[in-house]
Amino acid sequence: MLRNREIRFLLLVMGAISLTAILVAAFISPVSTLLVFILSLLLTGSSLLFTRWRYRELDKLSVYMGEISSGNDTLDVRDNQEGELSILKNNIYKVTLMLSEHRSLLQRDKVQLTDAISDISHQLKTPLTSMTMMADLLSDPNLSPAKRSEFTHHIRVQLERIDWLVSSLLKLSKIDAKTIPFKKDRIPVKSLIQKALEPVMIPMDIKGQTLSIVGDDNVSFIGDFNWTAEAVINILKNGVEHTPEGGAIAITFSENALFTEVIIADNGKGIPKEDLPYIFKRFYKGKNAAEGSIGIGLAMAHSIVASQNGVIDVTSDGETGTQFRIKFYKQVI
Amino acid sequence: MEILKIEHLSKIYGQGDSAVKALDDVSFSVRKGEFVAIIGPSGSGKSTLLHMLGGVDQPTGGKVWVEDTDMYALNETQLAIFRRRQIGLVYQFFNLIPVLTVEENMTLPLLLDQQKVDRKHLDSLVSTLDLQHRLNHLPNQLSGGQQQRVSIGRAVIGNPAIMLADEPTGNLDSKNSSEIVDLLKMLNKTYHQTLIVITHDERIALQADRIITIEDGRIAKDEVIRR
Repeated sequence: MLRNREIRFLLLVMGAISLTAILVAAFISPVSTLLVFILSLLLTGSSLLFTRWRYRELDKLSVYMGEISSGNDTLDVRDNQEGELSILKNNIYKVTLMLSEHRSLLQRDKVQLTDAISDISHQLKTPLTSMTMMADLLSDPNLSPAKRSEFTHHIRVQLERIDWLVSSLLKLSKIDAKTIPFKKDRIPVKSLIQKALEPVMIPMDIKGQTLSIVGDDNVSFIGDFNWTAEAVINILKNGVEHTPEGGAIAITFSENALFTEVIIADNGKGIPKEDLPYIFKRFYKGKNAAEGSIGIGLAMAHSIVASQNGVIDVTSDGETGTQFRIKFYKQVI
Repeated sequence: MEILKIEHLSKIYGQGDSAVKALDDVSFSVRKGEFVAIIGPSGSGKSTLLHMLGGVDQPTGGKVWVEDTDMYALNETQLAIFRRRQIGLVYQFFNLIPVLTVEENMTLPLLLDQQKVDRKHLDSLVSTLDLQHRLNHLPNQLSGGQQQRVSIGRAVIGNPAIMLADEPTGNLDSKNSSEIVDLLKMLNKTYHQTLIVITHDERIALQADRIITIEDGRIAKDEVIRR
């Protein structure tokens, strides 16, 4: 304790005051001198004792922080008392919790990466196996022209599938690694929706589905036009696919002080309750998934929205259909 | 991490013949950052459960662990300080101090702790709550929705471990209600604030990640609806 400069200074000041007081008392009487001497001793002593206690508490905190940095973050140093020392302990504990949370997030990311890699290899294996089989069958010199064209067509379909899969996965990985520069322009929601509708107008027409768009012209948000359009297209495609003929797709959008919201609703058969928590997961295919769908569209939409300070939500039931809610927040998330 | 753990919690009011079992062997845990909604009919024990979690009432049996601290093993003073620092409470009827300004009401937990208020943190919270122009007003000069936003600000300003809300929209019209729910949802996402809301309203419950249904003092259902 004495190595601390401030303690040495305190000792000096207390010593000087005590000495002065003793000298003054010496002029009064020997009894008062003794009194002042004993008093100074007691005061200085108790002051030093208390200071030593405080430094020991600080030392304990140092030891605690040492334990934290070597990975043992299960200790709790809080004591729920009034005062600065207790508040310090409280704040240190908060930082400890934050560190431990980061550590588990990193671990979770690692696990997710491993899972993603095994998902991808599984997805690629299926079309590759099929194509290998086709190649084997095509090597038969006595193949009929009809069979030959059937098999080559099959290979072509698989190749298209792999091509699309690889480019989607690349996009998704880049988004997740945050290496894509999303533009930050003010985007009028109306023009975004009109752009997103272009590729789905024909399938909607074929299925005789109706479309309604409700929202003010001045509703806008800050984001990247093209990427967000792609996200909306994926959701619209999902809606059109899972809504029967003659069904209806309703798009509404609005803005308030907290966020800008776009709701895409359909009156299809809905998404089963068990599937709802997982539909934005990569490669997740619900019970009603279309043949040949890989389950990336919604995952991509989710990543795109999440990278632009937004959230995407889904509610669904068998009677009212499915509603996708996209919210772009104005404050940073 | 498990920020809240409840083990065999029970609460009995009264004695002998007039004893009422408000909570009967309730156990569950909540992870950090989760948004949990607790729903159930009137008298099912929801408010009692919230009071146990908030440290404002003693359970008859069982334990409540918040951030690995056995809440009811602390003495009264320690519990009061623990509550001040780790738990944020939002009530149906706002419960703001009528003689303090909006800013003072919001920073009350910090003022009681005699901590210095971090201006930047306060400013960002105030603009999230859209109360920038009301800081010097008294609660009776504010609308219901604004008052509730002040109490939400008060509940989260100290970055508590858990935030508990007892029917936060019970006293508001539907437009204000949905704004408050959106606000809670955003706080849950921005500050990774663990949130436990008691509500009658299923629409609010559907915004949560997890819905726990209480009936007759017991957990009837515990459903995860969002990951």
